[in-house]
Amino acid sequence: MSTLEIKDLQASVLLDDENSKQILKGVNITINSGEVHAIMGPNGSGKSTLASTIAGHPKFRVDSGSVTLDGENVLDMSVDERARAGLFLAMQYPVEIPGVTTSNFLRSAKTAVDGEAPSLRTWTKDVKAVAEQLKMDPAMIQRNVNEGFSGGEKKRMEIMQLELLKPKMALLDETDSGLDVDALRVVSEGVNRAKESNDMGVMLITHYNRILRYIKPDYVHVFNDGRIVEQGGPELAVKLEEEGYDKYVAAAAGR
Amino acid sequence: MTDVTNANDTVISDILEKNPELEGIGNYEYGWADPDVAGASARRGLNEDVVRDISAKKNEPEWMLNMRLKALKFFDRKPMPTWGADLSDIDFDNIKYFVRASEKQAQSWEDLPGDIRDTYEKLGIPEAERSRLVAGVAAQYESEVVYHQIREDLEEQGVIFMDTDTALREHPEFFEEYFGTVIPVGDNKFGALNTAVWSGGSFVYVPKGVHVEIPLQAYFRINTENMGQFERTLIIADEDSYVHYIEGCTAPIYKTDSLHSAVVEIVVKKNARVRYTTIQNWSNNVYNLVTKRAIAHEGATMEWIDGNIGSKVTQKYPAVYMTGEHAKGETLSIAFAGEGQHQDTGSKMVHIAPNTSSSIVSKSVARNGGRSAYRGLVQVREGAKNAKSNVVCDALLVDTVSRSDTYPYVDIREDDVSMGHEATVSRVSEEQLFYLMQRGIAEEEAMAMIVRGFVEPIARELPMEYALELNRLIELQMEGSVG
Amino acid sequence: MSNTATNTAPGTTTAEEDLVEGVRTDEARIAIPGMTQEGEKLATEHSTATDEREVEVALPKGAKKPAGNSRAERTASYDLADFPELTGREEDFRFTPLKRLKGLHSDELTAEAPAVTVSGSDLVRVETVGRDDARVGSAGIPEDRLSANAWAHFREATVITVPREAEIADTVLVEIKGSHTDPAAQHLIVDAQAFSKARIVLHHSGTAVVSQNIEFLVGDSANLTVVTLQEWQDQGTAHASAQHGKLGRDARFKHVSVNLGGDTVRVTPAVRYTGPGAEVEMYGLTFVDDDQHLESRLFVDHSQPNCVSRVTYKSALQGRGAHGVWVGDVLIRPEAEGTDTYELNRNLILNDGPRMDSIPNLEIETGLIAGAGHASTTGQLDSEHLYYLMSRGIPEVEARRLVVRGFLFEILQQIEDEGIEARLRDVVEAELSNADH
Repeated sequence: MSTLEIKDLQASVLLDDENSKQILKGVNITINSGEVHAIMGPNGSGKSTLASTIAGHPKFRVDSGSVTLDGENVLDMSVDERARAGLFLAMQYPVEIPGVTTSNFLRSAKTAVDGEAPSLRTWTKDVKAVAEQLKMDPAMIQRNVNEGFSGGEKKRMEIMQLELLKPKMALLDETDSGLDVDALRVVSEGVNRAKESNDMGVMLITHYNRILRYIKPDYVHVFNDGRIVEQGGPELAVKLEEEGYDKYVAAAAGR
Repeated sequence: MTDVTNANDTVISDILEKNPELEGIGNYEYGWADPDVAGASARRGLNEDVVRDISAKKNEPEWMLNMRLKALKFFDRKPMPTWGADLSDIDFDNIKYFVRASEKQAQSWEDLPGDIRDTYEKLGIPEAERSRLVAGVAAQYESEVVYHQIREDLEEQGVIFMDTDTALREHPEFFEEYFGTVIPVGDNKFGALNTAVWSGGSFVYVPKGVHVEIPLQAYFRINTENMGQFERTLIIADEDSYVHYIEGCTAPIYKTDSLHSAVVEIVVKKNARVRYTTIQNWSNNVYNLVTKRAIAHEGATMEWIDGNIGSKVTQKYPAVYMTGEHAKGETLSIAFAGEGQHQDTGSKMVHIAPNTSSSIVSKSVARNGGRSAYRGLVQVREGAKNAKSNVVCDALLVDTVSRSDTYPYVDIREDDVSMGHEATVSRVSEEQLFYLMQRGIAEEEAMAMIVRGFVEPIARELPMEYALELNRLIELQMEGSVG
Repeated sequence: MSNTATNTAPGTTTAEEDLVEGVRTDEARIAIPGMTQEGEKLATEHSTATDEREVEVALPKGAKKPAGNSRAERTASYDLADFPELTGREEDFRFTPLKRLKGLHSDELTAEAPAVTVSGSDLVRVETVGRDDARVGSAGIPEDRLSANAWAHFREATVITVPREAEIADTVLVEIKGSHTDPAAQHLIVDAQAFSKARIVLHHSGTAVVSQNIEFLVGDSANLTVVTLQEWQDQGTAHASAQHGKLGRDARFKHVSVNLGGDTVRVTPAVRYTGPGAEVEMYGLTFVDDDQHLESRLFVDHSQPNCVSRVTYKSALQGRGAHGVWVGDVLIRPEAEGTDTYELNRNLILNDGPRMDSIPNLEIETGLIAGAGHASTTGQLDSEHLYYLMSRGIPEVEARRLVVRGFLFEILQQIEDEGIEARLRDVVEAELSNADH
């Protein structure tokens, strides 16, 4: 049983050497193993910043508040330490790494996260099984990391890593974006499998409720202007789909 | 899917794992200096007397002295090139043009003076010879080749591999015919300088139809401060032959600069193939200004593999003049420019005969304020119908303070040609590092992974031990590159 | 090897002869044609090379290109008056034969536009709307006089809508058929809403003198493929088509332009991004015959982070007076960090006579990009390929066709509609057999 606890988190984006702009204005959220929390909000509300800040992206600076994983202070850790502690960020725009094969990358990451190299025989089998379930072309493993991958292939690759690295907490940043229905289904099944097999907690960030038809949220948080403005169950997502975010945006503007 | 893991990309990390002694050496690990007895007494500066003195010490024929003196005139007359790196700090009056480190060339490592032997042991050269990774070795220390060996079976087939001074004495006919024909006396300022004061270097002759399957290796070492090393290499590959020649270079770290200005001439005869690999790792106080050129006759293939890792300034553009039909020229070039380094490298391909083809692939990495430049020329002369050429140059910038430039010159005087040119510049981004680190990989390893990936297309063309060497150098280069 | 010490080439014995101990040290010593004792002539050319031949690609953060020829500064306006009368000397018209445009740039475009019929799927909505509809002009602004002239004169627009989350497997076919040669203006809009997926083929045929503006709205996460086929009758047709794509966040847009028929055809596709993460692929296949002028000028305007663009255009040219033009402008604005772009143009000259102008332009205003590159090649058939095939017994005519097919069909495969691909393959085959006699 793991708990990711975010308390009064305030953070800014670093624009250049001198200037920054506050994005997160006091976020509180607690995620336990096995729970799915959907964070929904309009574009530019800061929900992706929340995920990147928790993972330690250098573009963001924490101004106050705390993030702990099972009581350990996440904010004191470097990016790779956070990953090794069990935090996984499925990125919105995974980057290409030319010349580095996916298979080499996956094995390096697995070795780093586990602290020892995986046994070659079982590892090969695991990679193969996950690739098949995600309906990925096996040849992709021999290609360079994300190089020449389509948007959908990149998202599958993120979920493949999620399944192989077995983190305690997954932060899924707009994983549904750019996916057609078939790909969305495959990717969602992958997330659900990872959640079931190691009782993973999930923070699912999305603009549209489409993905929530495939990954059922336990909690829905509406995010606007750097904070959570409303919370509820799955029914809140349906309401948002019908009514949109206008009411929250207007309320924030009037504040 | 039967094989999800790629065997190749494990090899290098596995070997490093098994050889921990390869790790953790200082940033430039070849920077030690031996006691400098010979160098201390050597004379500085250049004039006609110096040239005559070098020639006399070598007991050369008069025509060679004549050519040296002619070259000296060219050198004096030609202006310093200003189109590339800043060369204004080179003080020609302070350079020692000839340093004799050992009275006699050794046939076994044991016969060498202790200091010099130790140096080569540290560089791993005798070990490579013992483990038969090379078919012949020439080791140049200061101005002369101090050790030389070639496998007997090659000698029996008529392959000649010896230092250039000895070759001039023992096989003058080759020199009378070829010396200075590929790179003329006054070709450029530094080529002229080399011709005036050359000493040492390798001479290789491969007879018709002979394939030298294992590489010949030369190793160049400068020990004296303010030394000028001017080796001269001449390679003749006769019809249908093949040879792979590898050279490596290192020097100690001094406060003031040394100069390395070599000339390499290669004649690749009909249907022969020559591959010339350089891994240059001079210390950061060496000006490396080298002229390398090959003539490829009908159906011949010349391949330059040019790795530039060290030096303060390198200006080097290995060239292939394709004078026979269906001749081929290829260059794979890789350069690392770190702090205070300027790597101005590339290649020249000159199509003179019809149906000739050339290809240049260049990769450069600049970090920590270093400058890398690709400077290349593709020329298709009138009459070189159906010439084909393809140029790809990629640059990787590791940070925002480094710089990369591309100067691709193209000069086509024939209609019926096919030309391709591609250039890309990319940067190791915060996003790439973040991505790898978010998967648990530590920062320095992540950086090294990215750089290794970038040079991978060239690394795979190198012999295994050189690919390993390159990878190790990348790791060393990346140490301390992240804060 | 020869052991003659003098190395005298026949006929080179001159007064300058310079022998020392019987060894030549004069000019005749040099083994490379064109080289002198003074060195290669190239070396001096190098040192005096002017800066304009040098491509500097250092990318300091926040670097700005000097003002002047930047694509970012080109006039964009709905008002025809903002575009001066053309002289043919303008940068973007210097290859276009103005006389052959039959007034598209200068006349009132009042004739009836080619007829539009839409078929293939019930899921799309087709409307005809007036100039005041909110969607008109929402994806693009005219950037040259031809487009502005069409804007000034069109009366109504056809709007094709792919509704939100609708995924349409069948190809939507839009027939655009011309029946006369009086100058006309035309306006079309394709609105692909969020999460929708569709393939739309615009098939231009018949005879026309027409200037078009076509707008493509590609919503968030929508996936739109557009194939624009220019298969006009060769005689009499002049066609200018300004095609404007506007992409939402994470949208995917594939644009395939196939230019086969028409006397003078100028297609100018432009793509703009309004959100991060969008991907554009642009493909072109142009087959230029005797006296045809087929021109493609495209523009990718990277103004958003993390977007991708890939451009692959190929042409084959044959016959006297065949003129192909390809200009590819890619602009990476300072805010477009993480951009990944590559442009490729390959042209095959099949016989003597054609002219091809190929100009890739890449402007980079930020150093923080994932990658940027371009390549352009123009040449004749690869004789090695031909030789190989012929050595296997394939006659030359057939070998040529095989090689050309391989070259061109790669683009047709991007249409991903087997029926249309098969038909176009036949058209290309027919063009090829024209060249053989």
